[in-house]
Amino acid sequence: MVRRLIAVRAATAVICAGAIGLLSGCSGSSGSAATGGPVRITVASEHCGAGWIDPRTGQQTFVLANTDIVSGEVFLVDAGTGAVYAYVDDVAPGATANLRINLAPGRYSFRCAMSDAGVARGVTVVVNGVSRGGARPVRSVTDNDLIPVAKAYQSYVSAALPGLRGLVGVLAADIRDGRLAAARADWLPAHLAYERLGAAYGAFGDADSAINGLTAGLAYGVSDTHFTGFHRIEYGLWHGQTATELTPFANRLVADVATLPSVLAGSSVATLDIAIRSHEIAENALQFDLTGQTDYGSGTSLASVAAELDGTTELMTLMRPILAPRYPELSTAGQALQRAKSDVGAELVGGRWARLAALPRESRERIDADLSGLSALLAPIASIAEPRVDS
Amino acid sequence: VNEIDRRGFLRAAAVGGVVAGASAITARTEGPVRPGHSDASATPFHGQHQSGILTPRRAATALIAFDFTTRNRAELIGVMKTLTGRLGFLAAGGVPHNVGISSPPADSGILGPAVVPDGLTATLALGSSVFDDRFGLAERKPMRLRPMDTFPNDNLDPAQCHGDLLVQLSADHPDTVVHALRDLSRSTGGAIQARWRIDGTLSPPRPSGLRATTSDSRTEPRTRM
Repeated sequence: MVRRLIAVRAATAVICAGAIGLLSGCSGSSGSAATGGPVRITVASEHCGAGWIDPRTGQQTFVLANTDIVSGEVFLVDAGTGAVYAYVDDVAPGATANLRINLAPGRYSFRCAMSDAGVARGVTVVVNGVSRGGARPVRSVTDNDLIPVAKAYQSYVSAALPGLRGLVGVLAADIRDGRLAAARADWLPAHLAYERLGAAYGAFGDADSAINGLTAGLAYGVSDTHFTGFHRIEYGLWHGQTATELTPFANRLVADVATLPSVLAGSSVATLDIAIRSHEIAENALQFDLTGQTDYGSGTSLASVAAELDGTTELMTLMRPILAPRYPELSTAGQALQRAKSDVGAELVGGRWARLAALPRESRERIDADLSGLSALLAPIASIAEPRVDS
Repeated sequence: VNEIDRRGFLRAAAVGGVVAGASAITARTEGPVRPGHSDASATPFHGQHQSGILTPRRAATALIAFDFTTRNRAELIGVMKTLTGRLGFLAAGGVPHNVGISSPPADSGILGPAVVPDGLTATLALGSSVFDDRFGLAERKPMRLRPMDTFPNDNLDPAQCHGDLLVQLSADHPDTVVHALRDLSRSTGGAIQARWRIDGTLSPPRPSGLRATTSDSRTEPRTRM
């Protein structure tokens, strides 16, 4: 999950932090871009944004040259509202980065957020002319914006924990007392209570691996001593293992779930996590549940997906105040979420979830399509709601 | 017994179905182009006929069969337009749009900051299954179009048969093919779901490793698929 976070951050940087080869690529590309070479822009605490001569609309390239002695982040903003057109992560001192962007007419300004220094504001540059497809500015989100959302999400999770503990307790008692048929029935409600938290990609760190980990990466697979939690118990319950064999895992699960309140209180849900979580739950469902990788015998992948969509719904509700003024496709995303819930929910017939492998091709493709489309529609939230330096 | 196998059928279809196909294929595959050699010139996606049929064979190919998960005709039209737009861009190459912070990067970045054409061709075919009542196309179904037969030497996995949309992506290098496939999957937002995929590579002719300057079956590379 750590790798995941890094990947998302790196991907955000890739758009802007162009390689040296970009320039030749630009000049060689076709299109109606106005002529004129790249404009060299100063990145520094003093004279931030200096060098913007001959402002014009359309596709163009800025060479951001850090002339300072510390690294800095660069924003191209709407001079009036401060909304961000482009963001370049960390330009090292003495280094340059290419920023290629299509500009519509407007009033622009560079901001240089240098390490250990305040944000330097460049002069306002008025760009006149006509253009098509200019970049759309987004009001940047700060940590302060996200803290209430993170706290509300934390409260949602905290409030759900006692219920989870209760259901896990029932499951563990079934196993300890040798009532394995009852345990098979009680496994799903307990597991769904956990999935509903929206713990995609191991949001709860090591506790998540212990509680909901898979055999991926474990040398001895289902026999590996590091394979614990819901799926370990699921494997045993649906593969004829005895209560004696499973009791240690049941006890371990009870203990691990009991640590969640302190995990939650101790680590706090990082604000960045909140920004990326909305699409990651859907993506996680697509990658692991809808491919059957999380099914160790119970055949309840679709139930998990439904629970994850509930978690997504909760998160979207919490994020709404931040997203509504910033994300034009929010209502489309909401419709996609409803569509996914409805298509997945249709596979619950007479209180039983259809097994993934038993789905007709059309149904399975439809649900895959729903979750793909939903992930794609939620993905911009990770970028829009990434907390950035307040400019 | 006049049995025809799948390979023979496809070869015959390619020669007979494409106007003046045979001679053009021979003519165009001549020349010192080696597999793996990057031809910087782009092959236009748009034209009187689809690309990837008479164009010289590329070193890397993927054939992917998709099913449409669109729910109506309007959505289907939307997907076809998206495919047209994306393939036009990918075949021509260029620098992907910078969408600022409003979205993740517009491109996967596999090919670097600028997308190189790398000889990419895309050839699309619709399966007979598209011409049903889902999209109101039943009456437009070409008269002889029907699901592919099972041939005598076939040993088919039903999961890897048929499909609504067959896409052949070919380029001088496999990364270009993968890049194009990822772009199509992403830009269509789940509206096409891959049913099966088979990759093909074109090896250099042996023993010389060089493409012959005249057509000679002894030096033509075998298609590995």
